[in-house]
Amino acid sequence: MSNKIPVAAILASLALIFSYVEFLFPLSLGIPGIKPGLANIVIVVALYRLGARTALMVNLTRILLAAALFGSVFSGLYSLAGGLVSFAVMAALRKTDLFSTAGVSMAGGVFHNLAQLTVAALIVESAQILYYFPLLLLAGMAAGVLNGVLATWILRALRDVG
Amino acid sequence: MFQKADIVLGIILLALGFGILALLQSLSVPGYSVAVTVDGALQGVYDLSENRIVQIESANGHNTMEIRDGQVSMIEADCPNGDCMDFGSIRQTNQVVVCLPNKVVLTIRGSDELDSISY
Repeated sequence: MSNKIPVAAILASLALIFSYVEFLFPLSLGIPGIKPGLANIVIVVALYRLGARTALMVNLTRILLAAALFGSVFSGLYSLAGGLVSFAVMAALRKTDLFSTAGVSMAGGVFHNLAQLTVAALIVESAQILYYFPLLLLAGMAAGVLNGVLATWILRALRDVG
Repeated sequence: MFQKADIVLGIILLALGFGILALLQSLSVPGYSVAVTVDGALQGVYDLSENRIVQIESANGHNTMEIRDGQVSMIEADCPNGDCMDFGSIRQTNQVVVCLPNKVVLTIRGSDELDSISY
């Protein structure tokens, strides 16, 4: 049990680095506000290797540190909303044993974006920005599948190592 | 790598995303004016037929909107990432430009009659 802590700490640092790289080099693919969310590769790996409880701690550590080091109260709020909702969805879908890692991550990506859009609509007090819903759904899906496939490869490699 | 449930969920999500996108596009009509809101409060409504540059002051910062040839775009913003400028030009109802840090939202309005439908 206790040997989970150092692994969790390393994963949290890795996720934080991914978040920082995306902060330094924003990748805008024609859709404003969209990010690949590479830190979620680490979160998915943590979910499958360490279980939901520890993975949630890894995720929260990353979100809080990212907001404190290179974010703001608002970016932290968006990140927390997206991170918690997508995490809850991923942990629940994983429990069903019906979905692959990539499928779980796909759902996580979609719900991450929907949660952030909902928070954004509340903050700017405009229901009109919900017009953005379908684009964010599709973008979240693409990013989730991409991250999920990468996480699957990493989990496979980790299994081979033992 | 993928399971049956993944494919089913994927198809549902794709149908939902593209379905709503198509629906919004079919309901969208060329606009008559642009409404500027800051923090939920309406700051002004500007006719699209008149070329002009509008300065938008908010509690958090400053944005500049341009109306040119019936199209609206954000041409300047003092927020760190400038996402609002990536939205490009908008001219149809159902299109928006959002600046999250400054809480500025630009929406296109149709004629009064169409307004009440799209709201």
